[in-house]
Amino acid sequence: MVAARRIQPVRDGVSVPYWLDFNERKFCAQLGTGSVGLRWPPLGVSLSSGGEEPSQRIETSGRGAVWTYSVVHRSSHAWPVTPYVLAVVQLEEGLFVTTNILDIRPDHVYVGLPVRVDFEPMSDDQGGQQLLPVFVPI
Amino acid sequence: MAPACPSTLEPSHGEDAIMRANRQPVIVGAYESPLRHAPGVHPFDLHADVVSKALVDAGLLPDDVDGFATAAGDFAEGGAFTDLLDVVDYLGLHPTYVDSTDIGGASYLAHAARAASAIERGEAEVVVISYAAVPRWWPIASPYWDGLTQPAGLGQWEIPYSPTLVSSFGLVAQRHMHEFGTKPEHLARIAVSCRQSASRNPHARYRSPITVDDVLTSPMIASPLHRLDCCVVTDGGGAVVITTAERARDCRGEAVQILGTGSALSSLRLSELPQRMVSPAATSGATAFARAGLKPSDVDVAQIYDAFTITVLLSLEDLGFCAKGEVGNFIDSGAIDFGGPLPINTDGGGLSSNHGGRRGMYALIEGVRQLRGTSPGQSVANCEVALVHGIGGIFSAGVTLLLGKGL
Repeated sequence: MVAARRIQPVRDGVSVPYWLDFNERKFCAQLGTGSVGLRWPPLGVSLSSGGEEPSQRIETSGRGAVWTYSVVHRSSHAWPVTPYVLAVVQLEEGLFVTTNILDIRPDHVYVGLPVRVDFEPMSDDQGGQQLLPVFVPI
Repeated sequence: MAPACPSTLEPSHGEDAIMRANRQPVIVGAYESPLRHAPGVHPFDLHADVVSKALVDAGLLPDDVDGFATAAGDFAEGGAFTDLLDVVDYLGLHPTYVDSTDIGGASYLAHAARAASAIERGEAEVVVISYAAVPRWWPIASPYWDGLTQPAGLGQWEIPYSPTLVSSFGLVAQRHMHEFGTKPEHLARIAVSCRQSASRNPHARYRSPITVDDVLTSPMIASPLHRLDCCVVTDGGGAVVITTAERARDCRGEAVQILGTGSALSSLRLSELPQRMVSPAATSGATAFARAGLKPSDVDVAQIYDAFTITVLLSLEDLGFCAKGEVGNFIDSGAIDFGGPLPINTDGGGLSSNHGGRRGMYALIEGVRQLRGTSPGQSVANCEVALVHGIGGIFSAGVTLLLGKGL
């Protein structure tokens, strides 16, 4: 019997290093070329970088606050079990990250809640374990 | 005899002015299926039904049709990758002007805008746009309907967090409440207004009037959106026929002018929502108003895409009916209440009448009906200008049409 689990990501050449960083409990963002600066999520080739492929990964503080959220009561997804919290978190660095908020009652979440990144084991299709960044109250 | 293409003539040429006026695009046929449940009916059969009835409404024949547009690859629409080919084949048409632009719910409005331009340029004569879906019985699943993107590329950073359609819009509603003090009651009042219009529409799925309290006590689907903040699910379809003003003279259906159109695209990503709290409607609306030479105060009736109450709320601001952040006050003033100064979604909208997955076509048809005085729902007196606005994705696309009465 297959246990319910999160939808698995399809990694590509650009994203593999970031997924490996997650396994080291590091949430890294992408340093773009030129004036683009720090970016999340990472891009391969970007029009704004003049077609140059940016390749630097910079570890973020992992700290931020809930920018907005929605408590999901009905879902077509097998995991997480409802109610769960979908959110957009803004990191101290200014970047926005789509995530789930864990370790808190869903009805206690509010816009502005200070959070920090944590890593949740998520089993993948090859039977391996991938750590997934999530956010929890500070 | 003067050349058929107006662009080759001198601007000051009198004949050119006549040619351009005669090629002005008008909607000459419109038909919405009264069905809300069609068990065992293939969506292409609904296409055939609404297309033939729209042509009858126009007083045209299938042989007159040289252009066709649809998007039929979403859940319960019957098409796969080459959805346009599928539908055209089933209908037995052979169009030389084609369009299957897919930008979500706004697709059919984009089709209408493109067809209007093509007709004006002389690239098409009679264009049919059609939509049909049967979500209430269709057994073939679409894997991405709830999260919208594949768990690959940029989607790999979002889909593992199990976003749903309702919660994606919930994110926008929650932030709007935080930034501007908008209340759940404001969202609920939109649902109440649409339901009151639906109570007049014999074909609407739900017709019993509801109160703000009914909305706020209905089950929470994804905060802050309750069940009654969400659209209905119905089977059905609709089609329109667009041609030149010249051709319309020989047509049966009362012609409705396409005065101006605008479209704009933004991101599908939830992490980009901070950049689209001012949605594409701000651009598509401004463009449509500028091209039509009109402003929001000229609008007599507005059909604003209502997959959720928040889609109407944000669009009211971004289309310019009120200032950004002021929509709570706007709604408190009774502006969008049934019988109020800005009639919205007068057939009951997606919130109460019909929604097969994409609602652009139904909103367009109701705009046409209001100008003709043939709406099955709330009928707006002295209706001269109708606005129709469609949304795709999560405020990821916006298409605005301004329609005018008669010729």
